[in-house]
Amino acid sequence: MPAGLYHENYRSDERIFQTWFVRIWVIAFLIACVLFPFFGSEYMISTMIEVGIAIIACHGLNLLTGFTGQISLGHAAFMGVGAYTCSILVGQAGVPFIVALFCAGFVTALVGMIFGIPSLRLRGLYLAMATIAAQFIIEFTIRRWDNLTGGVEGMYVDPGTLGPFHFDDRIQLYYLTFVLAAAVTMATKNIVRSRSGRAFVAIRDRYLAAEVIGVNLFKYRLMSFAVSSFFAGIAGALMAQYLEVITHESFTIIQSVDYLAMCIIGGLGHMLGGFFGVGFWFILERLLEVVNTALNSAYPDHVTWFVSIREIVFGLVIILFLIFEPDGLAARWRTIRAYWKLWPFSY
Amino acid sequence: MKKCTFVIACLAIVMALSFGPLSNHAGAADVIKWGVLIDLSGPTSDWGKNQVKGQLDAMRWINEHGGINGKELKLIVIDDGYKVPRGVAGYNRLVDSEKVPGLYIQSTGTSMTLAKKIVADGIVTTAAAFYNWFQDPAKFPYSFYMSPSYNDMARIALKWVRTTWRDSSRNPKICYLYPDNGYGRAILETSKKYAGQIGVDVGPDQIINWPTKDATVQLTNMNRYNPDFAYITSTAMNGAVILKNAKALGLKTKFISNIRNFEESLITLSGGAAEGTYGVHPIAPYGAPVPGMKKIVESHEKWHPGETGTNVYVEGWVNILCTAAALKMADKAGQLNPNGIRDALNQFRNYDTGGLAPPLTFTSKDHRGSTAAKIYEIKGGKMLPVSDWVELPRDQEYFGK
Repeated sequence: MPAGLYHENYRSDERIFQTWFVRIWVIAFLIACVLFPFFGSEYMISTMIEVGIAIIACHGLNLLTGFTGQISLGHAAFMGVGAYTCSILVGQAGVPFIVALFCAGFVTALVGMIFGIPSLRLRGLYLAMATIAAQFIIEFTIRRWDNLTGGVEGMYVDPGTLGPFHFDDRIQLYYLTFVLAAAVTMATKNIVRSRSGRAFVAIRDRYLAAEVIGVNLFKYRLMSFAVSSFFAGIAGALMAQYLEVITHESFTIIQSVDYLAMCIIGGLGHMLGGFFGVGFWFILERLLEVVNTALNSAYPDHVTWFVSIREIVFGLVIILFLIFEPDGLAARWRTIRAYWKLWPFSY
Repeated sequence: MKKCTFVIACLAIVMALSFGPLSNHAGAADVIKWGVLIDLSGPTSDWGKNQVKGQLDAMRWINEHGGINGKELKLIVIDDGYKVPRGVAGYNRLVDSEKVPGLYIQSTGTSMTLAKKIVADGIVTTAAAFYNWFQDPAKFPYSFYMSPSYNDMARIALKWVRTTWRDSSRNPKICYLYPDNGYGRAILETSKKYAGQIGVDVGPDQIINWPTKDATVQLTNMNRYNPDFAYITSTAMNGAVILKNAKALGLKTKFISNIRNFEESLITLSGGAAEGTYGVHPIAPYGAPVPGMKKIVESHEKWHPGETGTNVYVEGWVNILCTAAALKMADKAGQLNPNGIRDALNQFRNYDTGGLAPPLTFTSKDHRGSTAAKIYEIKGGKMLPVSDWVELPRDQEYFGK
């Protein structure tokens, strides 16, 4: 009987669940997610919806930045496109919500592809700048296309319905987010282990070599932008449902940077990166908020002392991660797992 | 491992510091909570910090002077960094976990996003986003603020311009300078309509976006029309740049700042360029000779020696003093819940803050707290009133639009 993992062919090497142990844990995790609303408070459920949305967005960004190596600083704007597309289709055209949700994904994918075109010529920082341009152009469009987007006053989002489900109910929105987050995770995992995924990684690692071995750079870069934006669009549509009112201020460059930071913390180019990054980010954020509020209430005279704690901690965390853990929490997770796999006989 | 231990130890200390005193307080039964959702770390944090300082000092003063009918008032401050999602999360926390009956919201984006939810949840809000539409109780029954709306203040400025205008050969001319966002555009429609009615000519709008680095182009464009007045909708940090540029260009136009632009920091940031400019403001500046100011100045000197008081600080006081008055009424009626507090606020009839703000009146049909403000001029680095209360009639024509 072979000890540990022993792959005899590529099929087994690329299996999603490498061992029955992993499978059990994933199933346990999913069951916990399904049961969560029964014992979570309303506040916790709201937070988990945000987490789910962020995970969908981060998978998209991870695919683009982590796997294909194209830095994007316009991810929040793409989410904005999805949010407005879905809300406009539901509210003004009367399209069923679930159709509008996927239309939002496709429209955002199209917009993402348009802004992805410069990626053929631009790389690294220059591409980052092009995507910042996307951020500003989209924000400007939202602000000025008054009769469609409500301009600077924003627009109310009609709650989506699907058969008996009404997504203005937090618990039902939670389940919708959960199902979509699981689907997006599956999709990302499958893209990554397919031909396209390998092409993405090849482009990231050395685009010249990739081109030499026959990877169509333009096609795959654009594809990466499209898929990434599709996920952003879905995340945006959900965000609109969550916020109930969307304005041009809901999808700013600061949010784009936040998503990138989550991906860096979680681990660029790791499937688990999205989960770890988002989890870490939200836990830290909410913990700091609790600490901060408690300190504010306890020492009201010094309220201005504590407010910067959050900014300082977040800045510090990103710097420390870039220095000590450039592969993110996902890499650290692997190390920990490897340690326990051999425990107590590690060498 | 050592590093890890150190980090955990640090976290533990912070947590102990924060939860230790909290648990002591949590035992007290007679605590009335009130939420404050404010920007303390984002782009408007300088404003937010002064506001929260005023609110917390007012809370302390109230608690030292009998509290809310003997009960302790406790403000729970949450920093939203001027980000909408964080604001929404903060609101959820205040309402779901802390169970506050009401809260103060600063940022426009958060106020707009939460507007519908607030009505559905039935949570009393006092806000810093003074939009006209929040004043219509038919749409927003829980929304109150202790100031005229942005639109009304812009109209007060127009009224003052018209009444002080002496040249009978022509109408006064005014231009609007504003950033391209909801806050900047909110006043335009009603102001222009009102200007047409009272006889003030309006020149071409000049859009000056945030963060403002240079406004020379817009000011030069404006100067072609050569207006007598220019109304600035901005914040002190950005407005200071406009005033500096205007001084450098040697413009003759008189500038009128709106409430968010007209702060003490405008005087310091503009390096003297604010001298001789005007501002429209409903709240008495810090240290003004009004009866209600004494306790504020005393508290500030006692608790923050060496710091300068600002009019935003006074605004913070006014917000909490009025809130506390409503809480007292609701408590006396045994209705210390959102509906009770709303009803208490709806009973305000010319509520006097000791001259800190114009007398406040709320009814169940009309949430225009007041429709009066004073015009101030910056002279010798101080804000001095150049008019008495300029008051608008409570006309239906401009109500809630």
